[in-house]
Amino acid sequence: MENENVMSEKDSLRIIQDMIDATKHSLLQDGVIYIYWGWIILFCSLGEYLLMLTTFKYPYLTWLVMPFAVFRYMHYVKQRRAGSRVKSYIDEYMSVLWRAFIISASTILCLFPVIGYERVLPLIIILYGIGTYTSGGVLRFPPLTYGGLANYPLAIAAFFTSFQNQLIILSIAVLVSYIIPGYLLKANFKSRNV
Amino acid sequence: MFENLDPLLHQQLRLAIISLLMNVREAEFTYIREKTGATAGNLSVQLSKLKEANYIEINKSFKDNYPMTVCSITDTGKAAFDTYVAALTKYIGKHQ
Repeated sequence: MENENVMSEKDSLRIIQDMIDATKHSLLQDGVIYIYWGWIILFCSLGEYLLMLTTFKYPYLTWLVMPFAVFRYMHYVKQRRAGSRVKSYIDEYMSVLWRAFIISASTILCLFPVIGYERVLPLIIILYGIGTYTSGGVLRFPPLTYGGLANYPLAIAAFFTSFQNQLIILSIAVLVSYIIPGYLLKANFKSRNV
Repeated sequence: MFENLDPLLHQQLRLAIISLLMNVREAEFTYIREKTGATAGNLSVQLSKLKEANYIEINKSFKDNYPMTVCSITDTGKAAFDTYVAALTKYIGKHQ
């Protein structure tokens, strides 16, 4: 693209198309965020479930890893932003979406004395559905979209079962909507960047 | 054949720059250079021309003690690109 050559209409269209292709990928398409949060939540929920099967008094203590996970994640995001040379609209949208998710999830968690602890996890699973279904649509990645959709029947099932079983449903939810799509996204990202 | 096309955009590198910036909020100079395959010198010249026409904004700062040039498209640039694409579409429609 060095010369002031006369361009044909095909040249113009090709250049426009090339630049659309070159910029359409988002940093979030490497799947790291989905894998990270997927494993953290799976560890907490499955850990609590397993501890509930024992005589341990405080099985919910597994969730204490969350503040550390959040801190580590914020550090990761900060590093990634610093290393990024472009701000895409997709990244910006996704950032706003997941911020809204965190605010919504925090609101539900704060309201658990009012709404009842047995309704908290089903509502959180619905939020997973919003986050991952929307992300799948924006990133145009069907496994994330379908994984997101799977959260809705899981959330419905969770409303009709005990808290202990809800932990298993939550584990399944993060497996199908975060971990599996996350690894598929990562594989897709790697194959595209080879 | 392209008498209605904006001459500022109807050049390979300038069109590539504007097309790229249409798709992102902002991009660093090195990113644009990598994606367009242009040399630093040529890219600087074309960016200056687009800036003079108020099609893009260029912000210069420092990141980790290294100079950083960040470019973004302006509303004027977006409108010019839309007009260019519309003229191109019209031309293609006429000649198909």
